[in-house]
Amino acid sequence: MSRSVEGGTGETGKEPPSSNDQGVVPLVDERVDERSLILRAREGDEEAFLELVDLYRERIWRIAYRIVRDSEEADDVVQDAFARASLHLRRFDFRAGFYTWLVSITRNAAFDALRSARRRGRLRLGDEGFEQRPATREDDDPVRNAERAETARKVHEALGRLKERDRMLLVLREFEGMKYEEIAKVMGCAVGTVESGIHRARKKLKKLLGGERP
Amino acid sequence: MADEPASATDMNAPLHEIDRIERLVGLEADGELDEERRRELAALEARRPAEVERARRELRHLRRMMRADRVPPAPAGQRDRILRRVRAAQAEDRAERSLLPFVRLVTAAAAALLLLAAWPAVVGGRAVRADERSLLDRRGVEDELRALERDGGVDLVRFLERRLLGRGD
Repeated sequence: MSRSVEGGTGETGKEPPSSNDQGVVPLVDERVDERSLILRAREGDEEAFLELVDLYRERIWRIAYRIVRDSEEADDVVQDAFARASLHLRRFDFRAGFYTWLVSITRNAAFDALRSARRRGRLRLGDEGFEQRPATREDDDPVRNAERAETARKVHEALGRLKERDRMLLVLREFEGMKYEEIAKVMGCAVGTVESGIHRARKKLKKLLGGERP
Repeated sequence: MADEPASATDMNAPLHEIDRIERLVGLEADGELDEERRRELAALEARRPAEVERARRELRHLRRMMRADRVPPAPAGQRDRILRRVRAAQAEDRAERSLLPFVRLVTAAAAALLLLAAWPAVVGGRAVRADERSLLDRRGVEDELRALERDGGVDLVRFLERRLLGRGD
């Protein structure tokens, strides 16, 4: 298994998995024997569990952030997801990939967080919480930078206006590069449902970005 | 290409066909196209090349735009917070597990108490049913039904007419 996703920086002090030519990192660092880490973590080996945390934390963070669209809330989702994973690790039976299993836990934690935020009246819309992140490059001219920043704002807002289920489908497919079968496992539905869901979500997003024709 | 107008074939393609093309183009881009649908897309492309090309172009554009949505770096100290949360969750879980036998005992005792408390109502329920029966008896309904039965079966319509509308035979 070696899909590629966006790279990220770690804070573990360990050497991150090496990037390839496109600046992306392999989804699973094959230098690490994941199975033995899981088996050790199951027996209560905290170090082994932390190694699993180090392997997946960045990716789980990105998914959580893209679903809840708020740094503080996403940080809480990440903590919650790993806490749930540590409690239910004994139930993990290796039938699905560990990452797929972890993402399905993250999905539940993120959806719970959104429900709870709604109850607290902290419902976010797409444009809220948008931070001007480095969608710009220093070597570009200011006009192009401004255009990029504007596109980023529009996309952020449109993604935020999608239903959470549609957003999750797009995040898993477009940003995490997951296959439909894996997405179906994460979402707990049939592959056909994923197929229709992704098609529908893309149409909605296109409509929300209305007028943005190639 | 940016402001390319819709071609004649675009204008003519029915909506369901456009939707099908977009769906198949999406599957193609995701690497999820099986042989049957690959043939279907090829057939559609032969008939509606402009529409298929437009769908591909729009999907590429949508994907490029989506890439603009950046995620900020994870907040500092996240690993430590995860570790603290994991430890807290496990401690809570252990505490819950140690309480489990006690909780089961309390639940069983509460269930037994509820059953005991509800027993008079159960017995009383039988008494109420018996009371209802005697009330019906008093009103002669049962006698009437028996009489009808003797006469050759219960004619419900006749019975109701007699009881409710006061009509005789």
